[in-house]
Amino acid sequence: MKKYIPLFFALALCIYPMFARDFSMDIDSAKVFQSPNKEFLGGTDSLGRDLLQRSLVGGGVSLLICFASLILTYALGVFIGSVLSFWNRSNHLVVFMIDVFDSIPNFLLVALFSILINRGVGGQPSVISTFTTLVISIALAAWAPIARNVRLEILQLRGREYLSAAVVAGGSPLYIIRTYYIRAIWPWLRVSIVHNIPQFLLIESVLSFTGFGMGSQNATLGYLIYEGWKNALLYPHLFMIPAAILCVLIFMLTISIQDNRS
Amino acid sequence: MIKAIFDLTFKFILNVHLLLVLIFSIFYFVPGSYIDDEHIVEQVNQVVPVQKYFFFSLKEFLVDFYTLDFGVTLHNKNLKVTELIWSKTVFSFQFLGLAVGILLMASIVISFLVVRSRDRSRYLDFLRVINQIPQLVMIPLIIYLFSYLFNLVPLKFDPYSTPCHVFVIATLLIKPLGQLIQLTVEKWHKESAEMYVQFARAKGLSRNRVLVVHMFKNIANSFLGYFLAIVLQLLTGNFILESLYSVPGFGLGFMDSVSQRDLPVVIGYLFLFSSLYLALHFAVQTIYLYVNPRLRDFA
Repeated sequence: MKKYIPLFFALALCIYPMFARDFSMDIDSAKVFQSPNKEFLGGTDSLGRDLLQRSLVGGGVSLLICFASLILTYALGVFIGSVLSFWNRSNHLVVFMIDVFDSIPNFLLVALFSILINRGVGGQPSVISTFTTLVISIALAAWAPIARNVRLEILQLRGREYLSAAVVAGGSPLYIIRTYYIRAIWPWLRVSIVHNIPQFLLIESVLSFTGFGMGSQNATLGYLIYEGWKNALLYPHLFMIPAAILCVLIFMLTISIQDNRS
Repeated sequence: MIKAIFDLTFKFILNVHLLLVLIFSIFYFVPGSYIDDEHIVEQVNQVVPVQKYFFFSLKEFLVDFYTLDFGVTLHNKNLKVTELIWSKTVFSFQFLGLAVGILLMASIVISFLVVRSRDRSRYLDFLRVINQIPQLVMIPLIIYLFSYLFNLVPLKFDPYSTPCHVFVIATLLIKPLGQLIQLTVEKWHKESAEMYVQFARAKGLSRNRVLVVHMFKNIANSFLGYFLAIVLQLLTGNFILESLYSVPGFGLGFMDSVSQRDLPVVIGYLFLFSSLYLALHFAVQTIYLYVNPRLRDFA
């Protein structure tokens, strides 16, 4: 239980933007480019906004996108994988198609899907539409390996005697799926989800760094690093604070998934 | 062997076509993503453009795809996207090609030295910590330290300065090299528990010979897999480095095209990166077949 504390912290940080968003956006022209001090622990940016607050909010938004896309990706992957495993006509061609889909790198696929869904680059009408676009494009790019693994896990179970016994004993399909299949794939699923959290966070950060992210109004960590770099020669804290928060998040999430026994 | 290579080639062709379908759908459904140069010539000649039917335009698009013609850029109608991307790619490849070569050689040599060393576990612990830092943080930090703080290299990329070239390659390599060494050393070290290693040592063979001739052949398969994944990181690092250090290659070109919303160029770059990755994937899979004979039957 102790090792999941970082995960709970990450979940709490997801909710943080909903409370802190307003005062992290306060513009004060008298306090621009301040170095870290007692009043502003992370200093201020070019518009006098508190950088630490902005970075924490950015981290929260990044994690929110990360978790939402994780949920959608796994829902899609598990659904397609289980349908393929129960569909008797699913043959090598289907698996081959999944392999083909899987061999294009995620970041590029997300960028392509983002253009396709968004009908262009940037300039979205609302925050929700940008958020949804990002989540859907990440999910569309990352479902393939999950579907393949779920299919393999379920296919391994299909010949087992206790499952045949459950069918003969009159167990309903829902009962069998709930009691046997989900319980059997849950260990793999749990490990895979937890391992993918830092990966998804990094994909989101690189996306927002390259300009496919949420934009300046709801800046995530990647965008803040990119923006901070423009004045890094004189004010290095502008990129160092968001970079440090990204590092801490990745460290925390990775420590929580490391197996101490190995 | 031939059947396996045929399978791989088929997979590669399918991959490229999947990409083409994706890009075709972007061209067709996203307004402004494809600007036809012939269409502009027509407009210049004040001829009213005729509405094209789907299948006619489909045929034209397919011809454009197979000739790799992505139209003209949004901001400069005289500049073809393919020419622009090609010029930037040639520039970037000078660094990337060298970096990939160094990565391959250096990772094997350094991993060998680490595996042989008695402080192996200490080095591994250090690498495990360092490798947790994402490239998005590491690259700006290195540029800030060496360029802004210690003034060892110019503030921005200078094509006529040799230290600048060395700095760019070193910054690109630092993270992928660390990761590749960590993974290879871990694999190499695990292999030493196998029976055949102990048998070879018992026969009186030297430690170096067992490490290189006997063990490396068995870990080469995993090494190639790691190498492929890590070369992809090199591409991502290239985006970040070029945009932060103003290196006029395809990374900076891609970032500029995204910020200017020049959609034809963005799509051209994405096609280039994806096909580059696929070609690399294909090459590594083919080397796999050579390294691991068992795969020849199952590929």
